[in-house]
Amino acid sequence: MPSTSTHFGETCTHEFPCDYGGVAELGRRARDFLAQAGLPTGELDAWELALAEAANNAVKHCRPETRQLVIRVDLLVTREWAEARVTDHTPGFTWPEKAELPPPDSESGRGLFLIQNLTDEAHYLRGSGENCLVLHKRRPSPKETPASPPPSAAEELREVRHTLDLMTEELASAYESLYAIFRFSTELQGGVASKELIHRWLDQLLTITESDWLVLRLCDRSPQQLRLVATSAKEGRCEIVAREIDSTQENSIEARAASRHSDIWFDDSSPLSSDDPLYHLGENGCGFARSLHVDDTLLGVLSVGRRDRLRPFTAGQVGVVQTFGDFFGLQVRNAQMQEEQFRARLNQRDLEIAAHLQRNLLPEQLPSVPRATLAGFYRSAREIGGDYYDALPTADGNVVIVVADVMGKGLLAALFAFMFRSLARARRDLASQPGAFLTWLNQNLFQELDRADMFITAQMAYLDFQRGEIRLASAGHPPMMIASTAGVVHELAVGCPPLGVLADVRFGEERFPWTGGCALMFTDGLIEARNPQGDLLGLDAVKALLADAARKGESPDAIKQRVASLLQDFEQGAPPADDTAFIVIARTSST
Amino acid sequence: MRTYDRGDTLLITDIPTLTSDTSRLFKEYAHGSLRAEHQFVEVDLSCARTVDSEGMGALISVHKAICGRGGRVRLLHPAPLIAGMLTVLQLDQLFEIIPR
Repeated sequence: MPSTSTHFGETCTHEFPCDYGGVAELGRRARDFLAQAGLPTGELDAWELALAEAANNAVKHCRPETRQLVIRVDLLVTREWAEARVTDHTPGFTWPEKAELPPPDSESGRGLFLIQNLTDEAHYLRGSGENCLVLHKRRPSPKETPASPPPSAAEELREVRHTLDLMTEELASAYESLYAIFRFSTELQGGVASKELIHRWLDQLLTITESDWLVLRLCDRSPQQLRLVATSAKEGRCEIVAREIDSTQENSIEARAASRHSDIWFDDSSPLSSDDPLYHLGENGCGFARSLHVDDTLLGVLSVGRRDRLRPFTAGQVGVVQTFGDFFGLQVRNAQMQEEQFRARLNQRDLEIAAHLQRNLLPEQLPSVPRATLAGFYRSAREIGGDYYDALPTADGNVVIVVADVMGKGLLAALFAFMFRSLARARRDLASQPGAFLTWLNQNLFQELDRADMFITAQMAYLDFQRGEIRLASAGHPPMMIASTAGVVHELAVGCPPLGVLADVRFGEERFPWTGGCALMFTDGLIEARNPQGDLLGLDAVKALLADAARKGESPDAIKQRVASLLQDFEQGAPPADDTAFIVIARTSST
Repeated sequence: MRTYDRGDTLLITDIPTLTSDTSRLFKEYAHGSLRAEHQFVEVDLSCARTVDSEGMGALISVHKAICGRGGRVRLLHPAPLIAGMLTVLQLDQLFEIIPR
């Protein structure tokens, strides 16, 4: 076997036909070369075995159409280490980080385990047309290398050129990877990769790897859906039929790469299926899909290809794509984390604003009304809601009581409650016509509520002390309760839809006599309170309490305290699921 | 490669390598030499320079054949690297290894 001494170290190349006889010959040749380089017998045995395993795989997994190609082994020895590169023409495979042993009685499956045990480092560079297994092992102790026979000048030149070619390709791909990552990192400047930046990166990667097309999908909306984010092609962008694909369905190379967390190749030996979303790009070409993941979290898939399958990627170009993929995966994860933090901050800010609105929504103190006393109660659940009550005295000495409940929680609910309050306070002239009042409110709120897909239940009661009656209008709200001094309770209900459900609805009103006793208006959080067993408080318990309080002539403040205690006792410490608001009214004199 | 019939033991010697190109031959030779009265197969590895994973597969094949009749395979005097690899691969659970 020809060998030469250069300042790079001792090198030699051995090419052999793709059969097991060639593997045996490789073992002898490599052993001779390494012995000449001064490796001790134990090291020679280890190298011979490791190379035999590597070459066995190259022969065993070779496809019939590439069997005529030779397997090439390059050996390089320095004073400190020895390295072997075995170039095969198999479809390649994913190199395991740590090979597992098969069951003890299995007759195969130990090759990779042996290689990893016999060498210090092993890397498998995968290309479409060829793959390269790089084995590296430190020498046990530096020894003087015995002088090898002087090679001929032509042999020496050929070997030096070959060594330089190998080193140049490796250096070039390493340089391209490092330079690209450096440039991409600089462009990021600590921020999040924008869509424009991603497109630019893909365009640059296309040029560096001499690819014909690149397709990037990310799982940015759901953990299983791969959404098309960017493409790059020599002619600009490429058309992709499927905008989203399901990573759990293994009907495309992108989905298979995603579900297996590995590179999936396509070429003439494993062509793309006609229903693959990349089929029109890779029908006669070659390339691979690489899953982008951090730890076990799938982030996306990067696919790269050439339209001509006779022009496969080199191992160096594959390495650049893999390095970029890993880099890009980290950027995506960082971006996701930044977005999550931003959303958390926004949500917190939302809650603060909503809480502020909620605090300012309710009257600090209910107004004094000549012939009635009032007491209001509000309790928020864990999330900010849109419950609201108010009392608006009118010029004729009466009062309109308003109770409302905006569907939903958070900032939007609080905002709608605030709008409702502002509008209600702006039209006190409608106070004596609660039906017309609700109709007007619906006309003014419908568009916004409909757009936000929300609604408001509300109740308005005009307490006419002169006439001794209540004019009541309701928009999908629970009934109002009135209790006579004799302790007879009536539920007053008017059936109309909530505000924001129908654009043109006329809210009616009904009149109920009310000459004494007390009344209660509330939101559904009161009667729908639950105990730890999941039972509802319901209307009956509240009615019974109100009847008793009316008989006893209790003040609104006292009734408020009793209802609050009833609520607290019933819930037995269970956290409230909804806001609760109610207002108690008691007549102080009859007409 | 030679075989010696020693009553309940089949001894196989003169194995220079047990690798991808020779393991098939070894397997056929060993299986062909096994007779009903053999309880043990002794494989003399004292002159074997290399035993690769294919060769180990061939040894396991012989083990399975003799194990079925309650017998055992003994590997005689393997080189240190081969003995070490057999241990690393946990094949010392299958074979009785007689060191040099």
